[in-house]
Amino acid sequence: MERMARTSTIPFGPQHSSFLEPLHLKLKLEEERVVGVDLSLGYNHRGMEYALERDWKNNFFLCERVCGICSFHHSTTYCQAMEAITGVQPSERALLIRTIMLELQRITSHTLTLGHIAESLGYENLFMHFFREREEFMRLVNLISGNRVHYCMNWLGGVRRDIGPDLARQVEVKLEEMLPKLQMLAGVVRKDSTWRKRTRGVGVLSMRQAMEWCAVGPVARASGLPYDVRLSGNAGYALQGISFKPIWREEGDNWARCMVRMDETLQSVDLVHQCLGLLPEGPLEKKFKGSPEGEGFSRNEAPRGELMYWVKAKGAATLDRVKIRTPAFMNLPPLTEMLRGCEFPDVPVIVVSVDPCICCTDR
Amino acid sequence: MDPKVVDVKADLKNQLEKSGSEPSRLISIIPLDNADGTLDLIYMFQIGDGLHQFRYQVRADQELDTISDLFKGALNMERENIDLFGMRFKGVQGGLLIMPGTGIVAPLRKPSPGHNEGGKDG
Repeated sequence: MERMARTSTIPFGPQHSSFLEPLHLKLKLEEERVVGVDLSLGYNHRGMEYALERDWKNNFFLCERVCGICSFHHSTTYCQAMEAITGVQPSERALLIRTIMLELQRITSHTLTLGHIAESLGYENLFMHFFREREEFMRLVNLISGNRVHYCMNWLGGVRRDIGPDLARQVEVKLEEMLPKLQMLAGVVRKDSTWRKRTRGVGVLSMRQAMEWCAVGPVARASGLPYDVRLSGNAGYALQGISFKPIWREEGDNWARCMVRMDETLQSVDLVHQCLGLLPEGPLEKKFKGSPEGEGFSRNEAPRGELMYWVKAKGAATLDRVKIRTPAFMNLPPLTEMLRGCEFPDVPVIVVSVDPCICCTDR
Repeated sequence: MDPKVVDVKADLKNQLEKSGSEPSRLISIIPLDNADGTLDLIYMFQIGDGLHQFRYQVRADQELDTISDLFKGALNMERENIDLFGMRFKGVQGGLLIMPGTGIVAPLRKPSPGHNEGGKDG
């Protein structure tokens, strides 16, 4: 007589050692295999969209508080939406400084995620390597902006801090020093047998599933969808004279998501180099007087994917509506597909591989 | 103001079919309270390389068809709109961001003239 599989329900979070933000998964298991997943969110809802209606000027700083890892992406996207409303066009210099900071923040975010995945795999040593290199980039953004997490550099029509010739040279030197270290880590992620065995063919999201769930960013690009906002629109890098091609893979598994992030980290170093070489003379910010009125929409490629702001201003200090659509909000629901059929010990790795950010998701 | 009742889902399907074989991706569903008992509902798509938005005016109490059968990613957007704007979508439950029964109802709705319900604290 065939033995029936023992079924059980196991909670993952909202407090879990492998993922500290409050995400709750109800996992239905048959023996060690996951056969069903329920996802609950909302433990960290702070009413950010309501808070952002109060004062359009304070929002340049408040937006950064939505998330500490992609803070500059939030404030830049808000700035772009407000610039669309007011018609204020930042100088090329300001746009390139923004791009430099966006790419540096992408490096800090991707190295954090890759370190986090290494830790979930039990690779403590590699986790420390990733965080050691990340720290160098944290010091670099601190050098430029005066802050490590919330840069407070953005303002309507430009930026509040310059990257002068001396600082640009320091950034160049640091990037040249860091590139071989990042390439060494990329070699580990690409070739290490333990890493590959734990990640290849695990947590697969097919291209069709990624399209159905409207996945974005590295999650979509690892499943064969080369969506990248940096290719087009008001955030398109070609407009600034930067050569850029999105990185994407077809496997759709944990390894592909890691590789997309790792290769994007190296690509960001190149993009910062390009921007530094292109920095023209020009004003840092342009002035705007009065109160904005109208509707504005903007997108940016945050480290986790497409970030969208939609703003309606009513000609007063307050705003009528601010809508934020974060990438993590789109990438978490497909977890239900990725986890179905996996082994229980792989759950933390798969969850971390989508780079979930509950601050962004719940807002 | 009583907006013309439109079948949002049918119209969206129609609009997307017009795009032919270009792949379409739902970016967001954005509700906007007009403070007169109606909401503007903006469905934003990327179709091919282009951005498209389809805007509808609906009554705040109107029950809409879910589009989560067309785009699974729409489900949480609709659940969010149920929680924050008190909207209704057929067969979709709220409780994504705000736990039902906590006394906070539709916190992003604006008070309509002559109506005290809704508002920031329910």
